[in-house]
Amino acid sequence: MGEYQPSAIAERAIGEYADRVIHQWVGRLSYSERQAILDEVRDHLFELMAEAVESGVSEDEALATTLTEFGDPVDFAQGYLEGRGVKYPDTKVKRFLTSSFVRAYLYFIVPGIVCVNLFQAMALDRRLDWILPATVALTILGPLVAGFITGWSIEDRFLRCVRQAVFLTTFVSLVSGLLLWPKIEGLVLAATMIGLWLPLGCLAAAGGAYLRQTYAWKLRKERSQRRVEEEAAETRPDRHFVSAIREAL
Amino acid sequence: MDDHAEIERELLRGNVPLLILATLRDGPMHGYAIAKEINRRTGNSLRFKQGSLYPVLTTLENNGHLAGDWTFTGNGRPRKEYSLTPLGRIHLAERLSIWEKFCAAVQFVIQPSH
Repeated sequence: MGEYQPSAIAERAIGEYADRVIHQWVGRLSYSERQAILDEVRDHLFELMAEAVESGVSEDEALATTLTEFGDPVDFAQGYLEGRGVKYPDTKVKRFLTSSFVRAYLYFIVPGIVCVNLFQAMALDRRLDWILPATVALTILGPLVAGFITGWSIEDRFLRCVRQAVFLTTFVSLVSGLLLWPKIEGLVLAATMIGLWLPLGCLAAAGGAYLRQTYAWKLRKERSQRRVEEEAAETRPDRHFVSAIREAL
Repeated sequence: MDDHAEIERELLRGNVPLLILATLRDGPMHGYAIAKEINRRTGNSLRFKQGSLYPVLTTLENNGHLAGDWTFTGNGRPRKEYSLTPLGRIHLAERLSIWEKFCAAVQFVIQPSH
């Protein structure tokens, strides 16, 4: 069964299943818990597929059987939350407010507003020498920080992060540039933000997501190995005995 | 048929921890292997969504009844193997005792009175 190698289509279908599960969990379970369960779920789904393929059915049929046997992704995600005692938002409005989109938007909009206000202050009072370097620094650091936070903390697949970053940065640029200043400064700002924020934000989001994907697993593996070594060093009954003695003392 | 499935699900819901603990008594297993073993032992007569095992596995692990260890499959995929802890064995014994008493009590009620 370990020999089965899923096709790219099967990998993508299982990836989409995982995405639908993740969508229900963002903001409700920690990143590490989400990733750990998804690793288990992916393994389980691939094993089910391997079993079905070995029984002689086509990969398409195997995929359909697998997803049916495992259960609907939304039901699975909600069932998991219920089992863990995590309250699931019961209305569409609550679900929207706690969605990854709104969270990502907030991460982007806060540095955006800071930059915009500093830019305005600079335009009104050009005598303040520190405003210009601070604005330039924030204009460059803003999208880098916001993009990185978005990539690191919101989604697990960095292509989705980039898509979100593109959408949010464009939105922030247009709103802040065109609505706050309908004059030439606004257009300059919009152009700066689209030209600078868009690529920098996307790059940082992709980088954040990639680093998280790479290092989160490494850290977890190290932790797991450490635990195995600790458990090998002292047997479990002994550990319970020692803790009971400690408690008694 | 739907009613039948719903009744089965209802009966099964509170007993998934017992099924998992009893399955793991024979040795460590990962999620898929646990589901497969339950299906094998019951001759596929219990119809349950395999995803429903995971919240229970996490809860049992958080309560210290199971220990989860990460390994890698031959394909390099991460996999988590669960094993019973000493606390889990005690919990299993308690659950088994409660289950046996419960079954006996229900049996007394449902069997025809003489």
